[in-house]
Amino acid sequence: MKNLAALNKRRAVTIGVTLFLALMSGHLMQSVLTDRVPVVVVDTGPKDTVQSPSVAAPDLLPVLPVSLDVPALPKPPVMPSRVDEASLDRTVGCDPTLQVTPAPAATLRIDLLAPCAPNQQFILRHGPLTADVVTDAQGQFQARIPALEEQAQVLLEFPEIALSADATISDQSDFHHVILQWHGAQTLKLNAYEFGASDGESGHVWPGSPKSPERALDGRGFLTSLGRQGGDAFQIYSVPVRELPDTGVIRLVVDAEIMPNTCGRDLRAVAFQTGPLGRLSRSDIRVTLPDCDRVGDVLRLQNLFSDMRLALR
Amino acid sequence: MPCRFLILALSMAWPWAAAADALQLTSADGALTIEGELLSYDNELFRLNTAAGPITVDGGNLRCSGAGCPDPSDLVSRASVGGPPEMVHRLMPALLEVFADTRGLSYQRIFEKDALASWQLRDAETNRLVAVFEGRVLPAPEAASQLATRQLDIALSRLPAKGQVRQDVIALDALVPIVAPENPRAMVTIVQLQNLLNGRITTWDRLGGDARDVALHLPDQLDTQLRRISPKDALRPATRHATFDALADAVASDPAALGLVPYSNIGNAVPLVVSGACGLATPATRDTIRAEDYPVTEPMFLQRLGARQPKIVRDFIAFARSHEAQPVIRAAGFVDQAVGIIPFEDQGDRIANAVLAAGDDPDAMIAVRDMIASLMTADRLTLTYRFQDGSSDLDIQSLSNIQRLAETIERGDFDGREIVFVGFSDGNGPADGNLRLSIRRAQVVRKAVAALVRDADVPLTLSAFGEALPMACDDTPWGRQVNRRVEVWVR
Repeated sequence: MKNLAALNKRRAVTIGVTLFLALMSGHLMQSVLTDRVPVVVVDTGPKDTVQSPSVAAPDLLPVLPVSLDVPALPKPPVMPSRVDEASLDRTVGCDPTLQVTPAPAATLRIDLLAPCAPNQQFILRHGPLTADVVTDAQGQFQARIPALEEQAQVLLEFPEIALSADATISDQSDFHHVILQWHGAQTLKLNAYEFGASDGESGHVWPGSPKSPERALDGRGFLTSLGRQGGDAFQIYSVPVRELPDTGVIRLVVDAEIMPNTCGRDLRAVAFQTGPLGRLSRSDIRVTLPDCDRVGDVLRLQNLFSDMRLALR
Repeated sequence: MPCRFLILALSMAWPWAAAADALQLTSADGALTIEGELLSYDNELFRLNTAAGPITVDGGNLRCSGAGCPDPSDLVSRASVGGPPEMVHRLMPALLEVFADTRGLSYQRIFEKDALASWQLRDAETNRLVAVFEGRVLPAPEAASQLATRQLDIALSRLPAKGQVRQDVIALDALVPIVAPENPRAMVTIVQLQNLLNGRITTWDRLGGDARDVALHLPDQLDTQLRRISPKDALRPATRHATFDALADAVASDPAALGLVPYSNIGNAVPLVVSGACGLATPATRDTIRAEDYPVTEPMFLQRLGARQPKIVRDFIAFARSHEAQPVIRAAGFVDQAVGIIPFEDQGDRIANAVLAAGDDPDAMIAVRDMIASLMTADRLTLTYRFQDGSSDLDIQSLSNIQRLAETIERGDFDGREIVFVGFSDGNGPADGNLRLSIRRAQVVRKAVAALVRDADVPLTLSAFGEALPMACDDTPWGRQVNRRVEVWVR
């Protein structure tokens, strides 16, 4: 199922979360739709069984071209009229294409092709995750990140337009996540020590050795980092809880580097961990880093995250 | 008006001082009026400074008038909580988050350092801050003294409190011996464990292994509990650890190591089964800890002074004790106090032990047969009552279980069934004397439970079988303590 959408971004709030377009005040809907169409390709998953455009479309279609004051829509609005191959061919020249596909280990493959926006900075958002990223010289961007929602939506915000696409991740709830999200200098490092591993062993998962999502098949976790120094960035450790052995724990530790530009300062960041209600539970980090005579040391936070363990039987 | 200004300025300078505007509380029928200055208000109780001195009034049916009336929408309840890291950072946040969810409040944790975090509960719709709990990681003696001087509102502790402290058992734990996964040992006797702690055993060959030294690892803070294992002798020098996690990690990585930690903090080490010289053994599991069949169980307490807490804090404490909180406590890695059922079919080991223990004694065999005939149509509950040494006084966990059983009965969980209190004794002394002791203990428990059950149509009966069903060997005080018990069965 493919789905194209393009609308004024200011109205995206009222129209629906997956509809966005240029923030060009004064532009008429029609002119935007015909002149410059950011293409959004939505892939809802390999089986394509989740929602059919023919169900949702009749209610929405008549409204869109006539009035822009469309109430918020519960589901991504679908516009089958714009999915025809002809319009794809016609617009493929300069318009960005975003494709989000389910990948193994409950991850999302994100493929962006923006031929007219090489080396372009943009913001990637998914659930509570935010990262400042950039397209390459060909205007391409690829990433693979863990899905934090079963109906997983990825939003890319460019200076003038925003793109969104989503995918259904059926095994999303099998995974638990531990997340660090921050803005600015990178001082934090998330470390997972799986089942008694020590520093540098194969069970030590951290930015220096993030491991591959394929480890999930063996009940092990993997780390995903995205973002750039000075901007928004995140680290996320994901592990399949169903595959965890009966005994043993995964110790979760955060190291904060004490650097010349961070020593003695307050460190602000946000942490999330899958909590007792089965959803991500938020912690605001407000740590004062040690004084500058300790530059080069590492402040180790043991209690920010709870070690992962199975419930005692 | 200038006067009003002055009062406002004063109250800003000393925010907790009594300098406040006057207010009047009037009953609905107008018959009662109280005038005074507001000392405090917690959304429920007014504390006023009146002409007759300070008084506390329930504001439920009273109307407040005057400039000193508190604005309930400005009220933020605060409570400080202190204790060991696993309770402050693992148990508290899990309980608070679910508590907030059940009351339509949003939950947010603020982490400042390993020793300090706080939790904010807000109205989910208006985002108004309703309550702030502050959590401090403190050693047990420090938490106790801060509680006594009211620097702390709630202490979480592994030690029972002394003095005028109210305490509830909010979770269960147990002290367990651990070794590395590579260590082939699976079992240790109580006497061996005592000798490991007091230094009479220092090498693994005394435990059936090679000649290597036993590297003993002990926590900094559990000496009171460790002395329960080895009451007579001093503890031998050992590698001490500030946290249970560090201890478990050190043991898990050294095949020559042996450590003692709470069951909730085994980490990546492996627990040893604790047995007696006669061969009876009880592994530490959720069921054996809940039933106190495992010899060194260790209740975890929530303690506070008798003073009134803000309503939301009292509600939270009630929640932490409730049926609804038990899955949360379990998911946080502690042993919960949900009342579990152990079917008769799952007690083959115990029955086999009883038959073996009876041996050739015809009277003992008859007792075992009677017991099986009586209990085979029933199921055992995990609630079990145990007694302080040589007395009919219940231990702390058992006292807490009296109320828990009464609540479970009143909730209707056993409607239409019969509850049997089954008394047992240790095997010391003559059998008929032990039978009488076990009857008396069953009577004590039934009476205590019956006193708390107000209206439930569940018959509470009793039976007793003396020494017929030993769970542990009688060769140590530990084993005898485990055997002196009142089990609860339903049929």
